[in-house]
Parts: sequence; structure tokens; C-alpha cells
Amino acid sequence: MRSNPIRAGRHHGVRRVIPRAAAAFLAALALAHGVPEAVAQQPTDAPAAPASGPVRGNPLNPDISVVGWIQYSTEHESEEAWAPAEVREMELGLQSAVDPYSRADIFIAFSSAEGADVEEAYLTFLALPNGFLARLGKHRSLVTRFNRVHPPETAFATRPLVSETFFGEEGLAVVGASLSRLIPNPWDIYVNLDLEVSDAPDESGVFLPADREDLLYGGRLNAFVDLSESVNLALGGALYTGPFGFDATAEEARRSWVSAADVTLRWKDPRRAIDRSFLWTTEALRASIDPEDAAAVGAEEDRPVGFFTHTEYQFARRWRLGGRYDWTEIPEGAEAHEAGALGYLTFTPSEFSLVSLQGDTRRDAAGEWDDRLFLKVTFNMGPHGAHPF
Amino acid sequence: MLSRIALQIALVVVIAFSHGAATAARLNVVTTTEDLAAIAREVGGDLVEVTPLARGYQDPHFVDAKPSYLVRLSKADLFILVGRELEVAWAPALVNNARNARILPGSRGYVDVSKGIEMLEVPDVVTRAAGDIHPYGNPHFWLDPSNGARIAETLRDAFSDARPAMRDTFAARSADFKARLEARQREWESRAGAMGLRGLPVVSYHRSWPYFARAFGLEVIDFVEPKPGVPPTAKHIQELEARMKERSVRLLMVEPYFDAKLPQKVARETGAALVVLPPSVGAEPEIRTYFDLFDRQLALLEEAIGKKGGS
Repeated sequence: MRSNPIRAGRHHGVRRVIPRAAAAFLAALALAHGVPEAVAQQPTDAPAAPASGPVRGNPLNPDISVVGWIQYSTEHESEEAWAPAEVREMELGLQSAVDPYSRADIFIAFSSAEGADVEEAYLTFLALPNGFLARLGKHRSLVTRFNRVHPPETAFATRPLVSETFFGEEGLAVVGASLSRLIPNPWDIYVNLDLEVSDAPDESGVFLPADREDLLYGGRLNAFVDLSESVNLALGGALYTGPFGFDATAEEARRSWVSAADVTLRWKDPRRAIDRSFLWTTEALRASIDPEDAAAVGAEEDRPVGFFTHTEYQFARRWRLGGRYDWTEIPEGAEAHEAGALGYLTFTPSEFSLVSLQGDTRRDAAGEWDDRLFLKVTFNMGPHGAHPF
Repeated sequence: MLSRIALQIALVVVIAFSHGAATAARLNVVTTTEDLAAIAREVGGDLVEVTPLARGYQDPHFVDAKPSYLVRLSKADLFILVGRELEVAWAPALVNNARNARILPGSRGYVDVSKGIEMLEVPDVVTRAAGDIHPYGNPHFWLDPSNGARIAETLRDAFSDARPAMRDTFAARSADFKARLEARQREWESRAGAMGLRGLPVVSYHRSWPYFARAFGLEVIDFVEPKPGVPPTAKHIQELEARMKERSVRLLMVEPYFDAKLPQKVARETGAALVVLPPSVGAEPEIRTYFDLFDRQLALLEEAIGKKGGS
């Protein structure tokens, strides 16, 4: 089953709001900053109005897009219920500038298994004073690079085991606020710091709601450097802490600390950017979770670790070959671990669709193997979005 | 001795401060392409510091939105783009994350040079079934030199808004650029006529050349891509070759960022000359200015036609 934080949150009556003081503060900052050279010639990202040509609908309507993900699968030696064909997700996107200070991005996911769910809905203050950027609302947590990518837009038919195990089957999506700033440095390279505060997610392996006051706090520092015109390196590190249920004996919230590190190396010759590219990325996570009964003799923190590594080679304009290896321990799983691998061959008829044949094998904590084949098909409709990077 | 050291220190301080003041006075301009950077330098001279993001040998549709660009954009006074969705896959993501209110869409520092340009190939029906089309018209308009002058006027106005005290300087430089461009354009048109470009049927890989064709009289009859952004199929190539033979096409023009293997085969099959035509300043090391671009393009076409004429 795919997790559904919003619905689960309502079910448990754990509906929390973004700290209103923070929202008011950020709005005041934006207003104090004034309209950015208030000219308002173009209220949205749309190009200058054409002298002639098609004009459809209200030009002030938000950009509307749909990303569709249809998946076929087969499996062996598994008793797990799994639909052989399903609409994994239809993601409706509504995106627009709100005013000269901010823009809104809303993504609603529809799936045959889960119905409708707000995947993300956030307001971004694009240029606060002193180079800050703030985001308020529900968004995919910044904890790792992979977690930020919407599920249909990942290269994979399945999520890496460490992501599923630590953050749930859809990754970590939180309702809160984040603040981001480029960090000046003598080398003029990209260094960015993100700070995030949010509700604790309702369904994740390493965070569990405790009470209303227990929020999830975290920070991520990432850097990007061009090693040459064709090769670049991205490094990231994050530290998050949040509640992990209650210590029944001590009657206080248990806490969990999660540290993450990721590295991504890319090669793409700009002269042949559409034909050849190579990517290698690895993400590692480590959690440190308070014991269930801290007062008990011999009680120790649980410290699961996990990682995945992924490589992809684009060998022709329309073709990509990739593979991923997963290994992870299970939180509160007494050092049990799972491992797996996935390989894929992806064909992209155009920029707006792809067909990917994927094979996946997993060994669960009990040592049982499960092999599956997938056919992942995705398509994009609507305005041309940004190419993923 | 002490007074000499004090004098040297004072000199260093004065130079440092005067350099800082000069740097602060210069407009920090980031352009999406090297073509716009070249024209910006013509108009702005020493009063602007220009940084292009995409290189001239890159396909401007497929530039990675690298975080390193954000560092440059975060300090920019002006962000200049071609517009008409040429950079739609990468520029909006950069601008929205640059933390720079000066260059957000709607601000004076967000300069779309397509304003005032007469657009070609504006589709009547906008659908992805027609490929990766540009709903607001073909954005490769810098390839007509007369549009270069219009771009310069847009930049003149943008620079003048940002530095009103330098308005006269920008106006003079823009007028000088326009005069030189018009003079050279007459030369280029004469050269194009002499080499027989007027009415010459040609095929190109992508729809990059309608403005260039209009400026110099070429007739682009078909494309290697069956639809914009869609790689060719075997069936399309067969039909293309038949059409090229039927129309006696002598030139096949390919942008440098496309794989030339298939166009080479088409050229062999049809007897056309294959010319890898630079579409932008910076596509080759010797193309440093907007004038160099047309000089080089016409030289390559002349060479290709000459070879076919002699063969």
C-alpha cells in the first residue's frame, strides 16, 4: 500500500498547521522588500504576447500540466498482492506566479490504488531580503536529492529500498516551511543551505508523530561544482531530527536523528548534449532512534543505515541504460537488512514520453528473494516543463 | 622610507576603491546565449559585464539548468533571454531559484528581446502532435541580421533604464552598431546573391533557419526531423531523399550539436553538400562577434556550393 500522509493525518486527528507567526513574518518580509522594481509588465513566466498567433483561454490562468505513469508488472515467488497493471499515478500540476513576490505550485496525485492526494502544494517567496527564498506548505522534504523528485519522474519503477524503509513508499512529504539561501564563498561556487521545519510525517520508518509540539527540524547543505565543461559534481549532506512516538515508561517523546549524504557525478558533452550522457549518484542514510524504554537496563539507540547507488548511461538520443543497487537495515529491525538491484532500458520517443523495461530483484529481511519485471510508461501533457537536472 | 610605504599603501587603497567603484557602476548582465552576449557587448561596451550561460555550440533548447548558473544569476542586474519559449526548459527554473528580485519575470531586469520582432512560423494550431513546437513562433530570429539591430535597441532601452546616466552612451553605441550592421548586411546580401543563394532549395536538420533563409533568399523545402524535436524515422528519410532528388537540393544544413551521421548518409544518397552551419556566436572559436557569425556562415555556404559546383 502506498502511504497517504494527508489522509492518514486526518484519520488520526493529527492535523497541524504551519506556525502562523512564521508565515506572517515571511509575508511581512516580502512586503517590506517592496515590489521588485514594480513594473509588472509580465505577471507570469509567459513570454511576451505574440503579435499574432493562438491565444487560448484566460492568459492569467495557471499553467496546467499532467504527468501520467502507467505500470505493468509481473512477479515470481511472492505472495504480495500486486496489480499486474495499474495507473500508478496521474499527477495534475497547477503552477503560476501569485503576485510579484511569490508563486504557487500545486500537484495533485490521482492513482488507482489511493484515489486523490495532494502531493505538494506550496507557496514560494522567490526573493526575500538578503537573498533568502522561503517555501510554505506541503512539499517533498529536502532531506536527500532523490526524495525531492516526484515519483513518476524518477528513472525507476520502484523506489530504492532505503528510501522506502526510512521514509515510506512515497518518500518524505511534509507540511511546513523551509528557508533557503546561497552561501557566499571565495571560490564563487554554488553552496546552498536549506532549513526546514514541519509536522512529523504520519507514516515513515524513522519519524512518527508524538504530540502536537513535536516537529521535524532539519537542514541540508549542498554544493555543486563544474569540474570541466562536461563534468560536474554535486555533494549534499543533511541532518534532520523529529519525534518517533512515545517512550511509554518515561512518558515523553522519543526522538530520531537522521543524517544523509549524497554525491552525484554527471558527464554530458555540451556539444552532444542530446545524444550522450552519464550519471552516477549515491545516497546514504543513517538514523539514530531513541530506545523504546530508555530506562530499561541495556537499552540502546537503534542505528539503522542504508544506501543506494545508481548509474545511467545514455547511449543514443532516445536510449538509456541504467542500474541501481540497494542495501538497507530496517529501523527497529534488530539489525535485519534487505538488499536489491534494479536494471532498466529506457526508450524515449520524444521529450514528453518514455517506455522503460525494468527488472528488479530483492532479498527481504527473512532472506526470501523476490524477482519482478516492470514496464513503466510515463507521459507529460501541457506546457513544456523544466528538464530534470 | 615610512612615507614611501604610506604612499604605496594609499595608492593601493585608492586603486582598490576606484576599481570597486568602477565595478559597481558596470551593469552585471547575464544572457541565455552567446548571440545576445555579443550584441550586449556592442551596445554596452565597457559599461557592462556580460556573462552568457549557454555556449554557441550547445543546442539552446537542451541546456542543463546547472546550479552553478544560479551563482551568476543571483548577482545579475539584468537577465536577457531570447524568449518565445526557446529557453523554456531551463531558464524559468533558474530565474525562479536565483533569489534575485531584479531579474524575476515582470521586473525591469528581466529582458525578453523577442518583443518587437516579427515572428515567423507562429502555429495556427498548438498541439504536441506537431512535435516540440514553439506556440509563440520560431525563436531563432537572431539569425536575421536586421533582427540583430532590433535586439540592440531592446538592450539599449534596458541598459538605459538600469543606468539612466549612461543613456546617451548606450544610444550612441546602439546607433553605431546598427549602422555597421546595415552596411555589412548589404555586403552579405550581395555576397549571397553572387553565390546563388537566392531561391536555392535547401534542407536543414531542425527548423533553425527560417529567419536566415528570409534574409538571404534560401528556400528551406524540408527538414531531417519529421517534426520539431522528433528524431527522424527511416520512412521519413526515404521520403526526404526522394523530395531532395526531385527538387535537386544541393545543400543540406546541419546544426553542430546534431549527430552528423544520418545527414551524411542523406547527403551521399542525394548528392547534396553537407554543411555544418554554426547557428550562434561561439559555435566555433573564431566566431567571436555577431558580425563574425554571418561572415562564417556565408563562407561555409560559399565553400559548400563551390565544391558542388566544381564536382
